[in-house]
Amino acid sequence: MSAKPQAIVNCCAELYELPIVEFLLGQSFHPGGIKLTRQLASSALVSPDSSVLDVACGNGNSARIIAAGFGATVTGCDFSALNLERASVASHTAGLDHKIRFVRGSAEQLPFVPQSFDVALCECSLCLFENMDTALQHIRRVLKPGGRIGISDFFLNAPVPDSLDGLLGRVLCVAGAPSAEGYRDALTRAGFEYARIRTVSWTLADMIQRVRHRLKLLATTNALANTGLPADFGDPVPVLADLEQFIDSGGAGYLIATARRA
Amino acid sequence: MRHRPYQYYDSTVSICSTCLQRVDGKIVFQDGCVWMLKRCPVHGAERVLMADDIAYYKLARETFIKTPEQVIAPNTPARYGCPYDCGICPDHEQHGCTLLIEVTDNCNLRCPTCYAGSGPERQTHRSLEQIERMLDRAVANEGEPSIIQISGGEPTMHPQFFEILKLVRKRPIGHLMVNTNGIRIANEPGFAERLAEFAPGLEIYLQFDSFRPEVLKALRGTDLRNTHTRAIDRLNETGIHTTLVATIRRGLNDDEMGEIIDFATQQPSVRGVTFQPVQAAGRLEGYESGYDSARDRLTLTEIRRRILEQCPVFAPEDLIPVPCHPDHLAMAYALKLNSGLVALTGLIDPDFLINAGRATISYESEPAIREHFLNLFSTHHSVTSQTEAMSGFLDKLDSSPPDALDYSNIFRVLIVEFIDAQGFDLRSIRKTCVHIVHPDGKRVIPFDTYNLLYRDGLEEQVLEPLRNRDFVPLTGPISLARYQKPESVSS
Repeated sequence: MSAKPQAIVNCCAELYELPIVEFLLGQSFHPGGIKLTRQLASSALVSPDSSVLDVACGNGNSARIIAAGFGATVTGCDFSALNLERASVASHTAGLDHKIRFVRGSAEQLPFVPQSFDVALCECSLCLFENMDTALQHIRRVLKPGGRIGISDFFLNAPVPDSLDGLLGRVLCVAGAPSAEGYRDALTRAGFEYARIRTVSWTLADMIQRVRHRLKLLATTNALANTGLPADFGDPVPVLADLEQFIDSGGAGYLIATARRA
Repeated sequence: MRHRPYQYYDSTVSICSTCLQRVDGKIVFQDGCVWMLKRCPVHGAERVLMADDIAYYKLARETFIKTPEQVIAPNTPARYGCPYDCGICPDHEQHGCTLLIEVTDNCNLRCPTCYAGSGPERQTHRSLEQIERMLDRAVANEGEPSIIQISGGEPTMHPQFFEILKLVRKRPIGHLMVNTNGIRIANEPGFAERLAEFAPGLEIYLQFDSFRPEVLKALRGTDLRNTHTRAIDRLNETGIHTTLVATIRRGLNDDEMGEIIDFATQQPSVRGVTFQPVQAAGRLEGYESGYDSARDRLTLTEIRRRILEQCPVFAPEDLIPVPCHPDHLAMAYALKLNSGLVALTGLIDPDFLINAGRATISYESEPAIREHFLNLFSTHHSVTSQTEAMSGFLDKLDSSPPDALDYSNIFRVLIVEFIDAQGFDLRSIRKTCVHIVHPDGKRVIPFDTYNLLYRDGLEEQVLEPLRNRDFVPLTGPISLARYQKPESVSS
């Protein structure tokens, strides 16, 4: 797969810090929301005994769901200091300090000793990383033998249309995503076994519907100009339409993948 | 505002684990686990782990629901209230998928844990006349019982063991199962051959708990490894369909389930493995400082996850609740191939199982599929009849597998969590479908309540006083102010 410039990765992290992004995408940020987080955690065998790493944990919403709903101990790791600050406050408010800790770090250089975790979750972020193979190898390194990885992400079966290859397309994690089989191959290359892929593209239709609805709300209230989005962000409305059409045509979709550290 | 440390899910009726008196209880969610809270007026409050997987617990209770199937006629009136009226009383919600006939109290082992309290010192064998009355009761209740399991004690110790099998065969009974420790099969030349005369439709339910001598000594009082090997060799030679049955005790053999499944798949005669956590009933010896429910109880969801961890050919969606009694039975089907097991959920359209998770398992639009699914995921199958059920089910789906698929290699993994006094939930006990025919030949009683209240002298010594007990007021609330998670769960 093609490497992505570090500038774009950094830019993504900064974009995710903007309140507008949370407003548009919802607290969970990723397609499928809380429901898919729960499904992913179940598929990766998260239990009250598990020590879970949430790679690119963002605002810590999934970490809180997993700590509160599954009783697991969670470590959230993210590149954005501001996100981690917010995540810490939210987990403190929720009374989950004893269950969750947050650590700043890059997925391609996870700051943990080997064999630290039972489960690693990577929601809608793997194809954002500069080098997916490096990230998977790092995740493998910090998992205990027999530990599980759970991924939710976009997959691509056709080349991305030009209109989606810009900054917004990147934020929506579309551009640069591998095919479903590409995930399986990458997991195998990184030393995982029993990879299982399940398509959950229904989550994308829900997501696009939500973003479109919220954009309409912003436009109606003339608030779209004050969102702090970069000038080169472009008009999101036609991008969404293109994305929807691309998904409908089978060009892209959403999946969850689980595998076991060999 | 003060908050509870839990989410309140449901109310329940339970029994006190000390005196077995009916008590009021709650089902709550806390720390990712399902707990039962209850209070006995005399023995105080209890907190019991029901499941360590809230999503699965809710899936079983709310989704895997089917219309209860009933016995032809109940045997006892509803008078004192559940569980003091067994049985089968008119308020039970499921017929007996599997009926046990205990033909003897005698056993050639004296296992430290035995829900029946059997042993070499007990010499009572039921007479053929009494066994006939028990079999006739099974037929009267069920019409054509799907499975009769000849059990004990050790049923092969009965001096007229083969006569008993003939009595079963004379009746309209689907499948004959023999629950045995395998000692006679292993040691007595020609014994397996005599058993094989009752095939097809005969299945051996073979005790097989571990590969480790210290575990076998703890569970069975003796190292049975050579016995296991010889018994399975005889069964392989004679081709008698066999299910391995492992009693699972926390911290003892709950790490061996994947290995047992692997071993089972390599034995030509073995068609499945059943895992049963120890039911806290009968003889419970061999525990350091005695049986401690907070430390030693093991729930279905814990066993299920350990199987998924140890046997990665199964994904979570492969090991699913059995609608007869969904929160206490879980089942997975697989194909046994030379290369190993292939989970059969892969052959079932995933949408089918996902959609099954939407509302209830009542596919009104697809009654044929529903019928075949319920038929397949039921305990009324022996490992022989499951082959036919699986082919029936798969053929009804759009994505029928190629004709070349050999259904005779169907392999089944089943988890059976019998209900003990600690985790007793009246809602659930009403759906139990493994029943024991009482030696009086007049009643059929759920396995779970039989071992708590009806076996041997329990009915007279424990049950009668409960039936006639005066009202005692509570001395406090069911919910205590603060609860700590037991070590065994939080570690």
